[in-house]
Amino acid sequence: MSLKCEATFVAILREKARKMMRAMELFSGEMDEQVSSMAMDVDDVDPLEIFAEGVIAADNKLADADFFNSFQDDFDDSDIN
Amino acid sequence: MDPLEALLAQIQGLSSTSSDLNRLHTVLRQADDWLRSESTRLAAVLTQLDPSIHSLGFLYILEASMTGSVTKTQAETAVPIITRFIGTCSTEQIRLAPDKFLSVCKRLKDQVILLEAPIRGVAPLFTALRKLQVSAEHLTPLHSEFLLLCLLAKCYKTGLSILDDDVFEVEQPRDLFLYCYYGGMICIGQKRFQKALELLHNVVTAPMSTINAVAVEAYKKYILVSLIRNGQFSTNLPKYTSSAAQRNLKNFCQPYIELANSYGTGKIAELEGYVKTNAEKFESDNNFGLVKQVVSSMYKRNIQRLTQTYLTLSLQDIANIVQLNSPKEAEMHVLQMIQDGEIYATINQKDGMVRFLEDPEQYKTCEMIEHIDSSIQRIMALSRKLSSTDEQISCDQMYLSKAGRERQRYDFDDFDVPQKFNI
Repeated sequence: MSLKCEATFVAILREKARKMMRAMELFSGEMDEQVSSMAMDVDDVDPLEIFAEGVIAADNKLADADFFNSFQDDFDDSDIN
Repeated sequence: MDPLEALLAQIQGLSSTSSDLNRLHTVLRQADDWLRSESTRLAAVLTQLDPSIHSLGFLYILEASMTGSVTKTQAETAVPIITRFIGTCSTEQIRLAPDKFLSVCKRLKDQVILLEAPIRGVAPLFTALRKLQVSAEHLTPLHSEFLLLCLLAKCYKTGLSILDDDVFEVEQPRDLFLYCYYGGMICIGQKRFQKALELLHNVVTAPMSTINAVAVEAYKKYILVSLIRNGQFSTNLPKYTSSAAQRNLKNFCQPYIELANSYGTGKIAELEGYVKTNAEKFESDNNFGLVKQVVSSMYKRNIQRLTQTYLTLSLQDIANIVQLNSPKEAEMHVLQMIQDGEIYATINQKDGMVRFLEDPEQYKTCEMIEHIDSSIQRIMALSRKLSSTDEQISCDQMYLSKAGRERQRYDFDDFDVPQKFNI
């Protein structure tokens, strides 16, 4: 193979490798996202809010505030003989 | 013919085959509003029905007869009727009208509370939830009502019986919140602190778009039980916790977080001082008893730490190091810890010396092997369940339509690679 052909061949291989590297970077970014997306990585938006219907209420309003919680405090061990 | 008598005849005649029951159900649905308007006449009708044979009709009439508030006298009459119905009704028939059955059971709960006799509702609600459940994995709204009565009646062991079921099907989020919160309290009552932590953790980390009052109360108890069980607490919540909980829970539980900080110093005097200053806050949350257990646990934690340094120690030395009032108090603590399996030690009362021993468990008894084997089997079953659930969700249309919009996918084929560079 002549020097000129060899140089062209090397240039083609380099270009191919460059494109493959670029594709791998993008693809592996997707893979990393898949690995970490089991946990809720998004900081600003609750991923479940994506699935929620309707408007999200203010943070200081408690849902289910009327639930029954008027139990006698029965967990004081000092009154056990 | 009186319409009520006509309805009675239909109930008596159409309660045998499933096709008859379907026809009867249609009739009863159409008559529902009218039955409520006749509520004062329905008690007499019930006496002519057999709850075990005419369960569906009995259910509709019983539910319609209980409209409005009741007096204690009325509750005293109604409770035995509802109890007998729950005990004898046909499971197949009541499952045709689950909402009605739920309504009747909730009325029973309200009435036994009115009569200040919650224990009268414990066994009937246990029967009711087992009849309503389509499988052991199904969480019904009655689970939390049952646990609520167990807590009021202080029947902790009875409540524990449903907490070992693995829950996979939930109807409403509120059912899960309350089941786990009340369940956590049942476990605290039985000193099953690890199980309590798991249940309370489920409430705190459950999906919620707004901060939930049940989660706030669960988080307070979660902090206290963490200190009792593990001697430590971290404010870091898992990544899968909702952002509503991540942002807000701590704001509602600040005194408890400061208690945990104080516990972390290891100084009894500081912890006791903080508890005394904030006693009113803890009492208003009905958590003061648990807070006192937190203080006791610090003594235990400090005694446990001694076992890592000393082989023998006198009771007087233990009292001095751990800041107890006397060797006698130290002896009581050590004895209780030996009994609870928290340390391995012997006390020589002659010379007041405590000898700390190694954990005798060798993990090679038949019982231990069976325990490990059953844990492995359970984890394998859970893993299969998770894989199957994951597959179902992956094919769920609603999930795909929403999740698909959020993600861009890149494929190799999407890249514009000139032909001459293709391999």
